[in-house]
Amino acid sequence: MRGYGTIQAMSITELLVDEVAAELGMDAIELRRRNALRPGEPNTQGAVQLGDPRLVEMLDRAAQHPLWTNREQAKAKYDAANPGRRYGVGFAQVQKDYGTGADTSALLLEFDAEGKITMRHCVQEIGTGATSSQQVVVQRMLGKAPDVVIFGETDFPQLPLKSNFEPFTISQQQQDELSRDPFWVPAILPAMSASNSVYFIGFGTKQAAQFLFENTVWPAAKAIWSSGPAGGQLASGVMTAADLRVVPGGVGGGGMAPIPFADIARKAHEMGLVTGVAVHCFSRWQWARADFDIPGVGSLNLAVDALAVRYGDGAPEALKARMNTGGYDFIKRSAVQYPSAQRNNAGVTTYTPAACLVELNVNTFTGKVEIMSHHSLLDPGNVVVPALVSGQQQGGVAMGIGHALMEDLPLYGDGPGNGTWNFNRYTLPRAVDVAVWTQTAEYLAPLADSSPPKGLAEVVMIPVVAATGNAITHAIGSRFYRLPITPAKIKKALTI
Amino acid sequence: MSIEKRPLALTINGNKIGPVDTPVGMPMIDFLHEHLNLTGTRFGCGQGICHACTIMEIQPDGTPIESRTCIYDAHFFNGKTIVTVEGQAKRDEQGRLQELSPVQQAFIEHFSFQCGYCTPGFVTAATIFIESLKRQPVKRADLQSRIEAALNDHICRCTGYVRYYQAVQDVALKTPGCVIE
Repeated sequence: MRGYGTIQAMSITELLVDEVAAELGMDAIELRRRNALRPGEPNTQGAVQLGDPRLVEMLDRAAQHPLWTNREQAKAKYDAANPGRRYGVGFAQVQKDYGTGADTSALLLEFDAEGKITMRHCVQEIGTGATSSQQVVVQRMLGKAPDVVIFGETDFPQLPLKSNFEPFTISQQQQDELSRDPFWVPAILPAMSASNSVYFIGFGTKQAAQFLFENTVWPAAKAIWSSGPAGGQLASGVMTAADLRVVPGGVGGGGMAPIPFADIARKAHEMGLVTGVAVHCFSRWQWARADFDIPGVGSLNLAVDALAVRYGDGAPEALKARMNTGGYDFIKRSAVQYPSAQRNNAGVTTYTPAACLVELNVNTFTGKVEIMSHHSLLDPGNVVVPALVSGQQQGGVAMGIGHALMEDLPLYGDGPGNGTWNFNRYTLPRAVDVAVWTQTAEYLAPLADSSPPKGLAEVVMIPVVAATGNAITHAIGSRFYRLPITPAKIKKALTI
Repeated sequence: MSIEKRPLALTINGNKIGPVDTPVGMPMIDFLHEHLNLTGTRFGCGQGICHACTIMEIQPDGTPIESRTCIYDAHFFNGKTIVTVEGQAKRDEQGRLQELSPVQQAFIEHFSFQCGYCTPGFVTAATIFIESLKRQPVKRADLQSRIEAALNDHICRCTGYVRYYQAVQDVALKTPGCVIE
């Protein structure tokens, strides 16, 4: 079950919100709208979310959906036309965190003089497509996808880091002392959990690619555009690194002729620029930052806590002599700002909102529920790979429908621990149970092209659970406080 | 105690296998995994419910049907012809991959699978379904319900089925003779 712990509590809470709305005689979406978190407001633990929660915007969109606006007319019409069945529409909205509170990322990204890009990355593939999305991040930032990728890397000789592995319990004093050692980090490698890949692990990928874009691609491109008669095509204008873009045909921007990545790579090696970077990042609901004095680049404050670089083929011998740590120059940070240990108490800052409308009918003779259609709403931020987002969303909804209607295990000795539970009596949703052909979804457009992507693989399964329960209540008038809402429970409710 | 063995001979992915002495009662999936190193077929529930272990059995008239390998003994397939997921794609004489099957290719293009555990079963079932449409086309209006009927036995825990079903619909619509108006 994805998002364990939260799905149970959120589902029941969302059923109760509908009950409160009914007691107040208020539209259930309007009640949520009045109480939704606005930007900058702290949550129950005092943490303030990263960015705009977008809950109100999502609620406004749901409130205008035909499933919601037409629900009473649709019910009257359906119930009249289908004796023995009762129609219902339900809604729920939640926001779920992504990340663990001790998130890390580690990778190496380099290219040779022919432009062949190699990426060694800590990310593990568990079926969510995380390895695909990391490559797309590089492609978008450098204009070329890696040619060689190694995933599931657990050892980076270029980053000989050490840790006491107590990121959640460390005291501020201990963190201050340990962080003086430039090889120390609060945690080294990430778990593949908590919907953490696209934002948290991808953050490291972005830092590595951005470092090369700003400190290698830009000077190499500038040199190419500045060569030739009269100082080249760049000379008569004003172009800065901020104007640099990935464009069809390579790297361009500022009106310059695009340069294929292979030409950039050749120039970068010739100039002895940084042609490989290894980074490590850490977040405790806030990213660590550190200062690095990088030969040939200068002093930079970066959102990474460890950095190593490789210099191009044309670099002076003095620089090459520094590449003695796994073939890289490990740049000892001169200062580091780790997020306060207190952030362990303040709690989560990264959330993704999701909502769902469910349309169903209840067979009053058998108690069986038929999901007729559902409509999901999600704010995924800037999507990296659309098919992976919708795939997670569709799968999450199916799992949520199972949680709402069929999946059940008894506690204690008769439960799953006795070793006799299997699919013969632990019933999973099949395609006929999840409205495979009639489901729809809408994703909020990102607020800007710089909005980060959001983790979503867990949140997508939660709102459908309570939306299904609320739809059953709309259908037959009874409320349920324990999941799953099985045919037996529905039949019992119908006979009271 | 000795294990009783009986000879087993069959055709798998076009290759004649055996006769080879095989333990009586050995599930077919164990024979595929342990004797032939054909590990693409997945063991799921072991009860014949999830259909992850489905392989293609070619009937004497040439039509393929689904068979589950976790609940059928290896000897159930004695003398038969079967195709596992390893036999779906086109390969050259050295066994190198030449071309994925239309169903496999569609599953990739649609991002149909995630963890991939149920995928060999879905490849098999969808291929058999498309073959059945070639023999007996379906009306366009009935295509979605026919896909659902053909594949509903197969459980997927990751994807919610949508991208599998869309891919199969795509293959049916693109394969001449499968769908009529």
